[in-house]
Amino acid sequence: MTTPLISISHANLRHNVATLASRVAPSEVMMAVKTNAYGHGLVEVCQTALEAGATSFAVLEIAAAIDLRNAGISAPLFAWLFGDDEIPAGIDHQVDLGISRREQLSIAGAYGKPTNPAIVHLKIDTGLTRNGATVNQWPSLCEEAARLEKIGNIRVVGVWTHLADATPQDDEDALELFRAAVDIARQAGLTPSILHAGASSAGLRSDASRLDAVRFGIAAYGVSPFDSPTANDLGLRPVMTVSAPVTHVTADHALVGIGFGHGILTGDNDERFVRIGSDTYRVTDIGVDSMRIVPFENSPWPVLLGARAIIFGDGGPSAEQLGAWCGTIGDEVVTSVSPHIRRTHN
Amino acid sequence: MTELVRRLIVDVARFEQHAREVANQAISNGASAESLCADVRANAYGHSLDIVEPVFTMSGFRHFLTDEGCASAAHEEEHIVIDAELLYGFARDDNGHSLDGFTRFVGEVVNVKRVPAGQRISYGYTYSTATESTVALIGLGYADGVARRASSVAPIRIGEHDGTIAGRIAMDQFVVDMGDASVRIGDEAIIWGSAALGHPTISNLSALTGIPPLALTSLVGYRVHRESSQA
Ligand SMILES: Cc1ncc(COP(=O)(O)O)c(C=O)c1O
Repeated sequence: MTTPLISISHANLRHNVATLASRVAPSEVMMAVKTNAYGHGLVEVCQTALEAGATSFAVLEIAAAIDLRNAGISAPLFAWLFGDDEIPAGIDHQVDLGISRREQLSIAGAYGKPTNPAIVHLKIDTGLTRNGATVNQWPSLCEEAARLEKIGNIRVVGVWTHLADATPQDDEDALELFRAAVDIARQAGLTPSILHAGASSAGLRSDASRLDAVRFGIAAYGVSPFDSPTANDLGLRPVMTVSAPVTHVTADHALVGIGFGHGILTGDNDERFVRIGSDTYRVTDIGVDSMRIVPFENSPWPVLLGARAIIFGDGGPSAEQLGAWCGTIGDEVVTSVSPHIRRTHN
Repeated sequence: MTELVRRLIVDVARFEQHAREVANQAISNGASAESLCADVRANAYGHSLDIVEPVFTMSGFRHFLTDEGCASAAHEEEHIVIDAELLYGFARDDNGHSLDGFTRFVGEVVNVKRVPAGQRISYGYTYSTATESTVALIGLGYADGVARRASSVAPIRIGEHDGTIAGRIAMDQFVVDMGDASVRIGDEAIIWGSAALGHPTISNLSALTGIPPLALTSLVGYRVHRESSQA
């Protein structure tokens, strides 16, 4: 095989989802599968995750939710980044809508009907300063939602926020604000039954963040949300492994057939390695479709033409490690890999 | 259904003019016109093969180096592959600064908030506003090709105003601190564009992040719609 290959381990994915589901039970796992399931393959990941204990999916976009509906996935699908004019399509496909603003609510209320109401999760901003109603906007958002719910055009099933993954105390402060917002929603007459706030970081370290569902993303793919503990410490296994063949060998260096054109991150760090079998080689240069490697310490030389180098994943450096070498995090490493590289699911 | 604006706009008119100059230069250096080969690996370094192939054909390139190799490479030695940095408009000057290529990378403002001084923003709360300020949320992230290493440093143009990325870039969103500028939901945000129009530039982003310009364009994600423009 002379091309780069992404192999997706469904055994490891199943293990991770089951591990996380049992850790947070009775809270449920609403698994984050945005961006083509963090580059792993949307439909395949969702099918396995459902078998392993995820009960709903956080998809980010309505287009991705529609892809999943077309693939026959009937579990709840939660989207929160969309243009106003995408809202009707979301309602048509029974997509749960994360709503932050009055304008979005008006559109949902105008298009939803008692026979097919918009399914709404209202978002409060508890400090991250991204989406979500501010504390000032929140009461009127809730009142308007309650009015539309009485008419029957929307159904408010959830209240949610997203945490900053800063310190545990910061998360606790945000949850305090969240609980106050839920009280205001209830006083307005809403009866949300799905409260959700935490993703991987808070979901793993804070009981209080788990509420009714945890939106686990990166941890489910076997990448730690922390600098430490590592994924291995957390009992999680890497799901994505990227490898490529040695395509050229000389007396002092070799080329491996993968590069930044395949979505492999570059960085100016000299400390960067790949593995071939149990041996480590240093990466000295990354081009569009190849990387140059040299022996490291006493790794055997020459390497064999056609031998597979593990860029990251099972049997190689972890995605977190490669992220650190490139000045970033494992999340960017896995999602950047080109969707055009051949993937095998096993 | 119109999705959020996520666009990479290729200025094909300027690109074609540039590619023709590069071709003529190679010919005047002794290359035969029959031998010129344009490097279009990695979907033309993220620019989109569909858009770029006609540009190179019109400007005199007879051969293409694709991911599969050189299409008509019966005799490798008869092809002269032009350096990709030069061809895509990223040639470096004597100080190592590159030019700005022919693309504009655009996203959309999806929320706007007025926040007090000291407001902390995005993951890890690594940024806080110096004064009361308007912050805009943009629906692009590192999965779309806004490198996370640009967090808190890269300039962004929204309308006529300049701001700076505030805090960590997330997978699909980032925040811009716009100070007192007026910004509205639905406005376009320019990640990089034309230096002549005062946009943030890809060469500056490259200098800030340490990522070469061709790697930046190659990383532009699958959700980003490639378009051509004469503007
Ligand atoms: C709203 C929301 N929920 C959940 C997640 C999953 O986060 P993580 O990958 O850290 O588990 C994300 C991604 O950042 C998100 O934006």
